[in-house]
Order: sequence, then C-alpha cells, then structure tokens
Amino acid sequence: MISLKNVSFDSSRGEFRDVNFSLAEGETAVILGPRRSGKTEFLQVCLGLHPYKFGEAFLEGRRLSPSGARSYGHFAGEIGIVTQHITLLDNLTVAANVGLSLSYHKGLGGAEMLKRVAPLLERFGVGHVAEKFPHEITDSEARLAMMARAGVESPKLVVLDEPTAGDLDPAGFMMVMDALSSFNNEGTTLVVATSSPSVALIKYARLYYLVDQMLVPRSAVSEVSDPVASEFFARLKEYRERQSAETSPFYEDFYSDGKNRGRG
Amino acid sequence: MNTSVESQTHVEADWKASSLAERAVKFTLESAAYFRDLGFVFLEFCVGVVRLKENQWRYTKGLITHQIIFSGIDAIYVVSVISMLVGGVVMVQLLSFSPGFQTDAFLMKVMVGLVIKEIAPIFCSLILVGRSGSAIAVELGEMKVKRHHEALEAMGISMFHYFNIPRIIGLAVANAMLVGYFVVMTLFSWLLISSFHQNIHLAGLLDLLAGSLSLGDVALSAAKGGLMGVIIAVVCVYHGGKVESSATEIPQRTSRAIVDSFLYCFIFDAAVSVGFYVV
Repeated sequence: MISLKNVSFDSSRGEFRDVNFSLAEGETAVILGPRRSGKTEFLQVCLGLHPYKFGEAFLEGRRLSPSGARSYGHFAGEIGIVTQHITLLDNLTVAANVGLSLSYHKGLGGAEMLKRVAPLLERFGVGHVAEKFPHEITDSEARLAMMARAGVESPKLVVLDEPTAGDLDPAGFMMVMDALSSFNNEGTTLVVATSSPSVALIKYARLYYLVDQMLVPRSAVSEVSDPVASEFFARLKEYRERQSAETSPFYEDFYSDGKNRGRG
Repeated sequence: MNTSVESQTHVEADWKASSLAERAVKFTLESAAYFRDLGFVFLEFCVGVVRLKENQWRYTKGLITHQIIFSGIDAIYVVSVISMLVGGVVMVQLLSFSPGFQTDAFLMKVMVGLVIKEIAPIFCSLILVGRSGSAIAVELGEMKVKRHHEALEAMGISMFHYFNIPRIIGLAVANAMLVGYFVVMTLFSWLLISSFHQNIHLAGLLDLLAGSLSLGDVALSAAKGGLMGVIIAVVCVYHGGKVESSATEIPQRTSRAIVDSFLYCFIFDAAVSVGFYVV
C-alpha cells in the first residue's frame, strides 16, 4: 500500500536520507520518535504532501510526485487522516462533524446522516456526545470523534499523527487505544506517528523509530547509538514486562488476553 | 527587548534610507498586488459558484441561510434604531431651517436623496462590517490557526466552497435586506415625527414623498448595499484567509479587514453616485 525506496527529504530537524519503508494492506505501522523529530513530514511524504529529493515513493501502486504538490483533497473518501491538532469544526455538533462529508458530498439530510453516523460514534465510544459541540467535550472525546470522522467512508488506509497528543486522562488514553485497535480489527491499514511509547503497545504493529534523521526498524535500533532511542525502547520493554506480569491495571482492558502480541 | 529595539532601529534606518520615489513605487506595487489578490478572491468565488455540484449546493444553501439570518435578520433591531434616529435627526434639522419644509419639494428631494440613496447603504455597510465582517475575518483566521482547512480538505471539501461562498452570498443578500429595512424605518420615523409635529401635515408629507421617492431609488439603494456586502465579504475572507499559524495575526488581519472594508465601501459609494447621478 505504501512503499518508500531510498527516499531523501528535508524536515525541520535536517535531511532524512535513504528512508526505506513498506506497508502492505491490512498492516499497522507505528512510527515512534520524540517531538519535532520529523514524524509529520514522514507521514506527509508517504501521502505525497511533502517534497522528496531522491528515491521513489508509491501509494496504492501509484508513484508519488517528488514535488509533494498533492493536497489533502486528493484522498477524499479513500484515505482517512487524523491530524495532530484537534480540527473539529466549532460550529457543528460532534455528529455533524463526523458526518460532514456525507452531508456535503452526498447531500444526506440531518436524520439520514445521523442514522449513518450513529453506529460509528458508538463504535468509537462517543455516541453519548453526538449532539454536543466540540467545546463541550474532552480532548480524548474530540480525538475519538476525529477518528470516527476519518473512518466515516470506510477508507482502506488511515493515517494518524499523534493520536494521543493533548490533555488525555488514563481513561481517555485507553479509549483512543481501543479506537486504534478497532481500526486494526476491521483490517484497515494503519500508520500511526507518535511520541508516546505506550502507543507502541498497539497489537500487531510494526515499530519504527525516527532517530538521527533515519527511519530505523525496531529490530535494528540496538545498532544505533542514540541514548534517547535506547532509553525509549528500554521504557517500552519495561511497559511490556509490567503488562505481561499483569501488574499494571492501566492496560488490562486493552490487552484482555494478557499477552503482548506485537510483532515489533 | 534589545532585539526588538534593534529591529525597530533597523526599520527606521531602512525607512530613512529609501527615497520618496522608492517608497512610492513600493507602495504602488504592493497596492497593485493587493487588488489583484482581491480580484482573484472574487474570481474564485464566481468560478466556485458555477462549479458547485447539486448536493454541495444543497448544503451550501443551508450555510447561506444561516449567514443571512445572522447578518440580515438578527441586525434588524440595530438597523431599526439607527435608521429611525438618523432619519429623525435629518428631519429635525431640516425643520429647524425651514419650518414649512413639507411643502418644499426641493428640500424633500434633498432629504430623500441624502438619507435613502446615500446614508442607508453606507450605514448598513458600517453595521455589517462591525457585526459580520469582523466575525468572518476572526472565524476564518481562527480556522486557519487551528488547521481546520486541513481537516476539510481531507474530506474533499474546499475551504473556499465551504466557508467563503456562503459568506459572500449571505452578506450581499443581508446588506440589501438591511438597506430595505433602513428605508422603511426611516420613512416610519418621518411619519412618526410628522404625526406629532404641529407644523407638518401628514397628507402633504406623503404627497411630497410620493413625488420624491420612487421604487427604483429604493431598488438602486438596495443593489448598492448588496454590492457593498460583496466588497465587505471579499475583503474580510481575504484577510481572514491570510492568517497563517499564529493567533496574534488574527486581530491584526481583522483590524485591517475592517478598515479596508470601510474605505472600499466609501470609495464604491462615491464612484456609483458620481457615475450614476453626475456622469
């Protein structure tokens, strides 16, 4: 579905060189890295929104232009995008936000749109705030609503930039993780960029780490002498050990089987 | 602190170093680019209206209605009060000059020409800029800062179609409506004063009004108001859309939008009056 071959691109942190990345349909990739490490630019290169200098980039078999001249509008109905910032429109209710593309493009009236959107809102755990406005809900509910909006037209690929950013409480965090797992269970291809090690616990995810302007697969991180990366994965290992020992009630609901089944 | 002082000194030095001619050329080029950009916004609006698909029109009509309610209907109270006060003051002033002015066709034409043809569209536009133009610039600027345009684009919705088209059409219709209210309430204020004033005979006043004011005058005034609504909307969506990523840009752009809207409305009004009534 996504393929980058020896791609080089500029980011706010410098030039990324020889980035190789591939993701098949139905797979999940989690791109880990500290804030401002170039995760957003990487996602944008994958979607053709950010220019790259060398190499080749493909999305759904189509070669992406190195100019990065695409706009978000190219993916309407095909790719769900959840941006880093909360982008629910303030003057629409949560349900109207989620169903906006259905109302706008397909001309669905209020009742018909609500009928289509209600199951999705329930699936993402925000059915109870359907009639509320964005300023009346919590950050985690807003993020869940954005995820529901990204999935409203059942896209094959969903790209999420920092889905757990903002002021999330533990319950909110769990709800976001459940929503990610909901996409995963539906067979949707998922790319998640995050600076939160705990998001790396998502099931079956392939883990990558952005370090020193390189994209390093989890298996090769030990070869990189980066103290931040080392500490990051040490912390991740600790999380997993706590999880498998069932000492942390925080993740119990998420890993109901009590086992770490991640492939990373 | 030092940096800002240095920067200010640098700007002042640059300003002094550049000659008057250089500044004039720079100002001219910047103004030309600004008007070109405003022209593009209007052109994009025209093209956008033509290209809207049926389902998109259905949704856009709802947004237009919402804008008309906010800018046109919710402003009735303010427009009514201002129009009655302005109409009343003008009549009281004329009464102080000529107590029997209701028999003077010339003075009545002056009053009608001044209030209905000039003051009505200008005052309504000032109200529209203050109530709706500023709100549009702030709302659009905030949407840009919060990156709502990215979310809309991701859903295949053009920010221009979703936000600008309903605002431009809504403000045009709302301002034409406001001018209509203004005229009606002004006439009402005149009739109200005449019914309480012993020197004015209602029947005589109505006769003179009928001779001085035609439906065409009211229609022209409303059309002028409608076009001023387009000017205000275009200027305000342009400045709101120019906000990039910082919230501090919003008040800067909004104040520029308000001042420019006022200026262009006055220029437009003068141009129409000169073109229509003088040339």
